[in-house]
Amino acid sequence: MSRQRTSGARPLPVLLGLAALLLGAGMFLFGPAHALVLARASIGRILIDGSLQHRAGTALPRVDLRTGVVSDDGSRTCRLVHEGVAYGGRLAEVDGGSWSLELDSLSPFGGIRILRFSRPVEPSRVAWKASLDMAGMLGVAVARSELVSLEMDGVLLGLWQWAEVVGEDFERHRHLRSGPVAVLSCTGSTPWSIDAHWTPEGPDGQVEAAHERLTSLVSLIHATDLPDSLRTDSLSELVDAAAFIRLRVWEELFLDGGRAVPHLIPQAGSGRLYPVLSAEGRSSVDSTVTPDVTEILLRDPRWKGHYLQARERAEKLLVDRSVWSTRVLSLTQGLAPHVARDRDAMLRLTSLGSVPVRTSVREWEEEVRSQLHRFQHLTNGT
Amino acid sequence: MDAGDEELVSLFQGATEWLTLLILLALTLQLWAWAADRGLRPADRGGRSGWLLVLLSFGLVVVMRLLHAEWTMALVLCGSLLVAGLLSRMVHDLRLGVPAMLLAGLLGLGHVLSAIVLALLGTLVLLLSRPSR
Repeated sequence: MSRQRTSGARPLPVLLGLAALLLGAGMFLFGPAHALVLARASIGRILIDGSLQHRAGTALPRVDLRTGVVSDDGSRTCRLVHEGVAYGGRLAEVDGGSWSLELDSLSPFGGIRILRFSRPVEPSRVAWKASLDMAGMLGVAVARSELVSLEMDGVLLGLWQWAEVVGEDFERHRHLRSGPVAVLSCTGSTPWSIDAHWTPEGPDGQVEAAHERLTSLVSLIHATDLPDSLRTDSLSELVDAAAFIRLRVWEELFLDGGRAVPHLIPQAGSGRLYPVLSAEGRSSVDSTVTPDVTEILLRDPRWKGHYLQARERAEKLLVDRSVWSTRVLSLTQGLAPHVARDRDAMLRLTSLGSVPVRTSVREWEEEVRSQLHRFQHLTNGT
Repeated sequence: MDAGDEELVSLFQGATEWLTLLILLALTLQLWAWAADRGLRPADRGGRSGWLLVLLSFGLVVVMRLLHAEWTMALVLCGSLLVAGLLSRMVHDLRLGVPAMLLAGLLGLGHVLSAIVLALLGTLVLLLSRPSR
């Protein structure tokens, strides 16, 4: 019986030839070393990430947004579907490709009604979220946030983050107060300068009292002619000094010389303002323009001692007891399959500058590990 | 790096990803063809996978990768298997059409680990079964 043979060139050698041609073109366009890195990342994304399928879909909450009618102001009706339950609300696009969702009812995420959805911008996707978790562990009031797998109108957008927008319900969400509370939010990057613009929100009486306290605080920061002891005593009457020192310790450990721009909320009873860290992104203050609250507090030996104790406790907790490394690694392992499934993700490798590289999860994990080493180096003080 | 360079990088990486999938597919089909057509005499050994099967399977990979709706993907995969089953009896080059479509479906879904397992098991089954004549 005669056998039918396939004539012409075999597919495999032709395809391997094509691959060699493509690599040659890449080397010509981007240089040999860079082309090899790009090719390795692409092949790794297909082979290695595709092999992580057994863990896919188990670690991150899945959020499905289904949008509807667009109104005159640009916002649109929206339903958030989480674990089979739909929550109605309105969705509006805000700057930088983020989405703000205001729900009609309490959300499945701690009852928070106003959520800001954004893509994690850092290369590792993990360090910022882990550092916010650490802020909470160090006793800093921090807005809630969570990494989710986001789908919008049937299209998988991949790894996103929702963040609580700090507002008058901040204490109500945490069952600290039954009603709304005044919140002061700075719109610039120098909150303690004379001309800083603060936006108040909340019940009328409380807002006025909080704003008055803030005005006194800013005046006191700039009252350089007063003796330090008087300034620190007055400061500790206006603000929750211990809370500001805990925030300072966190900033030194995680912001690498930067300063956060916190929201301010008056405490129930005393009315002292305490800082609340926003989860939406890093906001650095140029501390050379004006001194901040903690710099004045640390001139007082009592608060300096308090600061040193807080710093020692934080380092013990995060480094000696490995709380930080455990959190980073658990987040990394949990998120890896989602990044692998995130077909639109363009992860950026810091080692390649601004070159966008679709890197594999293994390389991404290496990046997280290098960040961890940098953190340990920082806290060792070497 | 300007926007044009970024587009070139994306184009290069996209082409590399598609070519990786195509080579994976061609390599497995070549292995299966060799296992299915093995013979004791050189004249009996076929061992060639044709362009037709490789390109049809790759077409399914492309379609599955571009689709997101689960029901649509399931229907496309079912339809491809049915058509491959019918054609495999009529066209000699497509005799491995059904397992090839299953492999393409798994690659299209991004289930590379399952595709590798299918490739290895398929080779084993074809080696142990009677050669087709």
